[in-house]
Amino acid sequence: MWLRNLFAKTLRDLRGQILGWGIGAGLLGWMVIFLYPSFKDQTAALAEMLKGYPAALTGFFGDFTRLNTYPGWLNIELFSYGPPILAIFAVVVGTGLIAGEEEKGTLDLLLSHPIRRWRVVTEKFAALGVATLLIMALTALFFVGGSLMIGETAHLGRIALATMNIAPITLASGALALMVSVLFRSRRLANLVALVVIIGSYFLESLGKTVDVLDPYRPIALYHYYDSSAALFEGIKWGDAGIMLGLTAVFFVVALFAFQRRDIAV
Amino acid sequence: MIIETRKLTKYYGKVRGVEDLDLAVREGEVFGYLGPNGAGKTTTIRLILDLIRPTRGTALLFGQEVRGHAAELKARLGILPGELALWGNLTARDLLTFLGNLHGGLDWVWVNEMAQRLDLDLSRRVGTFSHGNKQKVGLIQAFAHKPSLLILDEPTTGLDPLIQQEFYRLIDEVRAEGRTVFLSSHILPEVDRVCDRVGIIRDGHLVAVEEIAELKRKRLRQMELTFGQPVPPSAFDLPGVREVAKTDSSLRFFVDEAPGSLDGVVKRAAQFELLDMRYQQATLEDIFLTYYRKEGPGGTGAASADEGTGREGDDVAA
Repeated sequence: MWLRNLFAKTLRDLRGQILGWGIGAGLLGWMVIFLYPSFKDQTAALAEMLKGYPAALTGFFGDFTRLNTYPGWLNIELFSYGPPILAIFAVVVGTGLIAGEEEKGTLDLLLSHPIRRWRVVTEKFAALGVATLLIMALTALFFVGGSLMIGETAHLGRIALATMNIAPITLASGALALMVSVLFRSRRLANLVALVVIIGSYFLESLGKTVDVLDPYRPIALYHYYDSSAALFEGIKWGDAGIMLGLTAVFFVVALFAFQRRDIAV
Repeated sequence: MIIETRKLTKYYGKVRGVEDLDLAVREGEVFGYLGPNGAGKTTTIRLILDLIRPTRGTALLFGQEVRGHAAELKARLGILPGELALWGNLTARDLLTFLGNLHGGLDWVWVNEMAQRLDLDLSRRVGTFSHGNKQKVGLIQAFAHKPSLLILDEPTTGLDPLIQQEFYRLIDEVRAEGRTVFLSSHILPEVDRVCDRVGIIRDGHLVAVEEIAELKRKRLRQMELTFGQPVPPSAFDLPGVREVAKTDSSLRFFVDEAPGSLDGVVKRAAQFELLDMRYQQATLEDIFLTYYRKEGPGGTGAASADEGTGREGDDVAA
């Protein structure tokens, strides 16, 4: 059944990535979660100490004001910097979908069979989307399980949703990577460009919170639309998620049209 | 026409791929597309398959323009890409299953028969295969759904001679069923063995299209005359004589079979002191080189043709 179509085959090819990233992120989460009981008593003192730190520093590292709560702890230690790490998955897989097969030469074989180019892009990107959701779901299982193990049962739904909230920005990163890989053809160049844009936008958003010169440019940063603190405390900002999915759609459509028109490299 | 190209032209930036190609492949024939490496064979095939887009001109399959209809048309094609690349993480059977599913299923009886005839173990992972075994997977996926047109780019690359013979038999069967084959090759004897017609491409231009039988009628004799005195090559600048080359006291050249050609040569030779005279049928290879060698003295045509024959040697040895 994993060879029934290109979507299934691509998902099959990604199974190692799904397990690796899902379990890897989950174990990282466990490390943070299992440390919480010993930090719990000191978080108040820590938060007090951090008040003396420059706003620029605390702004960059996240929302320290709520560090004295369990979700606040998770936010600082996991959710605020998780997406840029998962972006590596999205970029590497995103550029591999088309440009990777093109560089290997297997795209010639695939397109020697009755499958339309737009379907190739669509089925492959759909597989990336499902892989992303599976990774986040696996990670959420670890987070929820870990929370249960240390007796933090108050915020399980929020934690699970906040984990899934990483999916839209990861998808947008993947779509961006797909688009640049189709436009530039070279997978290496595409990796570089996509990572520079993504990491750059992370820094722009983080620093922009406190550096006035950068502040007006924050809305162009992908990470401006990822608010882990809100997801953990107030609930997911659906508008932001919508913007991310909209960007995903734009990148995807550009990739689709660019790929439809261009030569397949030898 | 099963394959037709009209003024098909492709430039990669400023680099010439192919230029003003007018090809016509008829239903039911085995068409050999012959030329040295780098002549534009793969470019032509990739244009016909809509993998790359022409700078100008069009390609048609089954009378329908390829551009915009590639996917429907490919349902009727069996394609072996040049410099075949496969997904090494799959077993041969899984790989064939996946590609077969793109066609809506696979005739396993036929696939297993081909695997047996080509001596391929389908249960092994493709990544562990030798070059030749990968090529067999490529051939099987191209033949699997009994397509009405096979487009094969250098199909015998890496195959050992016994398997090559089996491949030729597969082609013969396709021809017997009235299906069409377009295969590219730089190996003349191969084209000679399996094809009905041959198109010769050189430096991106289609320089000739011939019936194989006709090409053979253009038979040449190769002559070597040894004289007791220096004889200038220009002495044999006669009708029907080609490619006069001088080695020490001998002259070598080709004579065609047109009436009078041989007579002229013998009468001219009689004017000198003739020590030895050797005479043999030229091979198809020689005919090809003689007729389609690039114009100009010692041109690069000879060099690329040599490259072609060199590769053939490698293939036989492999």
